[in-house]
Amino acid sequence: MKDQDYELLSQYLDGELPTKETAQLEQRLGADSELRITLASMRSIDSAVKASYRNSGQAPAHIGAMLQGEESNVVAFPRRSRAAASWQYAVAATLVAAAGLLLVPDMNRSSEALLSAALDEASSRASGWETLEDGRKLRPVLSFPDKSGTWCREYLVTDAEGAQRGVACRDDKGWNTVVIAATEITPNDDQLYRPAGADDDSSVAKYISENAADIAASAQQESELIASDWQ
Amino acid sequence: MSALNDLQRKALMAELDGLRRFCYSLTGSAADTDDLLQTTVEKLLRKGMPEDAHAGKWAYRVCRNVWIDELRSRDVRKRYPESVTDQVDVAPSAEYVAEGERELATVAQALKQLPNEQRLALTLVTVEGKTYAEAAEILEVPVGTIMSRIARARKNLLEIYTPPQMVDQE
Repeated sequence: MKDQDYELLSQYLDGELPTKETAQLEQRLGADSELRITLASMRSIDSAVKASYRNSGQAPAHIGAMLQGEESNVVAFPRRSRAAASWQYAVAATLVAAAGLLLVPDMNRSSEALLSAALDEASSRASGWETLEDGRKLRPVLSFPDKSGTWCREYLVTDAEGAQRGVACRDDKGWNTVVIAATEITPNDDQLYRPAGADDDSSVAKYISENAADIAASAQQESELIASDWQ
Repeated sequence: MSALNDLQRKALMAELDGLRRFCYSLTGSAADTDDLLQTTVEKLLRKGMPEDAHAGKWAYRVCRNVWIDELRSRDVRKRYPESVTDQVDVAPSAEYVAEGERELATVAQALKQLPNEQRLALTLVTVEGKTYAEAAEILEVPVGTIMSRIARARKNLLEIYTPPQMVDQE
């Protein structure tokens, strides 16, 4: 096969072949099985190359912390799983609206009870919402142990007035919110990527970075925790 | 403290995993990868980035230049990274490795046998999803050079590594 054919196939594979040349190549591919086979092999090579890099993309937590940082209280977490890297990013990307920091608000008892019951049972999720009995929507975001070994969960909750991001920790009576702040959910709230502009010293992110003793629980760990009543 | 603003730090956070893979492509060694990543981030924090710079290109370029400086200071004359025999990346003996993993180890070794510039061009486009134009900016070469390096990389890989399934797509 000519070098030029390798170049055409290669550009085609990368979506970099101009329209006219693409049409010509596709015609040739229909008629030339050697060309087709080479293209298929190139595709397989690409997949294999991508797969071989799959474990190379987890930046150590302390390097991520450098970017988040000023006087870092961030503990150098051991890098255990992909969840760790995206957890760091979720914390960094927390949005807090300019107004409206509430610390341990005077929450209505029954609304706190509904939240507590839901946090006890619902798995963390990257998108979508649980609906509480009072119509509010809840999204548990992640679970982590604090320095005293207590399990805490970051969550989002929305009601008619807007959205809040908070952390609740569990004692033997249930989940108690320890910090909460107004936040913004973008229209495409199902995207993991949040718009830039978050304050790094948001109260919720700060709470987590100061109190978390370890990386966020994996989905598997969390299921086990939920099943065992968070023991 | 840092010369980067909030937006730039966020943008870099989003690029961090891809940047680490690029470090691995550059150094070929697990040990050097995180050192290079850390040095790159330190440099970015210290020197900042132009307002209009695109993190996905600027950071990669800084990274590559840091590595070039590192190589010069190590006075390394070899074209290929040391780690052809890097124990961390060599597959354990065949009896202990499942079929799928043996093939992966082979493609990883095959990649290491490529000339650096071919491997870098290929991985920037196939693994990091950069366009030819973006890769050209990162590696500071013309777009046509990127195209021919990638084509040669694939041709070379096909010669030294047989992908597991070759199916006639028709």
